[in-house]
Amino acid sequence: MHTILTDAAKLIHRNFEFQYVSIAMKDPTDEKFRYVVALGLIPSAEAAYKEIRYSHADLFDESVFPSTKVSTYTHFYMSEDAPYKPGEEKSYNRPSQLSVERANPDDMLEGDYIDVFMQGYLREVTGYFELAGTRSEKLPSKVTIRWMELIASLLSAIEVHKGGWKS
Amino acid sequence: MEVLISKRMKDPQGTKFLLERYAPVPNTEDEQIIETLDSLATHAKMPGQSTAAFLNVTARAIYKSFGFREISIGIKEKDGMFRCVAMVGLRDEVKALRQNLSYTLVEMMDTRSNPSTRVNKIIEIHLMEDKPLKEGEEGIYNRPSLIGKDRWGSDSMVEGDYIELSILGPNDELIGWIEVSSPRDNKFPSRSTVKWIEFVSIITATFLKLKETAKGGAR
Repeated sequence: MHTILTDAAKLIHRNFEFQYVSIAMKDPTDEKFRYVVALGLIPSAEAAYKEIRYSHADLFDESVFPSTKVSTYTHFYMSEDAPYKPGEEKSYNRPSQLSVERANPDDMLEGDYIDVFMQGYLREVTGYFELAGTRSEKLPSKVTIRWMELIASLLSAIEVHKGGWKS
Repeated sequence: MEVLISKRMKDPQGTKFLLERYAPVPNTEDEQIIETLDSLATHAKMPGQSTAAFLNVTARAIYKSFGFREISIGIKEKDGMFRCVAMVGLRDEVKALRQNLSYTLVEMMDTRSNPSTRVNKIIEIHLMEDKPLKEGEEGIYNRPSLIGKDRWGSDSMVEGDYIELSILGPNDELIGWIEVSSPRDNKFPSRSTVKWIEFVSIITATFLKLKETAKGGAR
């Protein structure tokens, strides 16, 4: 399953507009989400990513990670809302640009990111894609987001059949 | 602290912009198709679902999204024979007849008695002119009285024409097929429609193999 997740991240990185693609999965041993694949990040940011652990409650704590839910699967986290814990600035490729102001509503800034959640049959969250940094520096198109949701949905169906991502 | 609180407040204009830009209602044909395939993936997660039930959902998804009135899906069963398992848009008598037909791998691959134009390793186009109706075979067609009618244009798709998409296993071995015919506009589908159905055949192959691995059987 890890190979499938890595291939999916590469496919997204190669065929869509995101510069940074990472995938976090729920670890069945401690029920915490951790990043298992990260593409496009500088080594220090990738190392910081791999250290992060979130419980389900952490992940959806709107006081820490304010988001806009645009569909069943997708949440947008915008830099104005500072959607990161103190110290997590290290997980950004260009932390000095986190305070850049948005000139247009469709700009994609350094601190913006999108989470697309993978869900099991009972809609329980089993993992998520984290996507950031478009090459055009604009927010992705709607059809791109729908593609991300379809890929997440197909991966979660594969995960169900394989009995977990660690298989 | 005040600065921190103000930073943590969501920008209402920004939120409104995002909700409008990414509204879940599909605006384009591609978004509509992706939504249908997403519901197919959701069905695939259903615990204990039979292969036949999954293939019926797949056939209905193709019927709904790609403009074909007749869809059949067959798979290789445990005895090594290929049989039709899911059908949409066919008359009951045609369904009953097709359900009772079985083919060996050699018969499935026999291009002499079943000539076609191969587009790639998955897609074959079968034309009515290449396969004249044999006595006793009328029953497998939905509208046999239309067999042999003239083709009114090079892109017209007539009764007896069909597109067959192979469902291939991990080593490109044939494990099933999807057959589509009778488009609502009576024309051969666009390249993008065929590519979408090819994608469906790949998704179907993935779940057939996963089910087989989980249960040790195909059906």
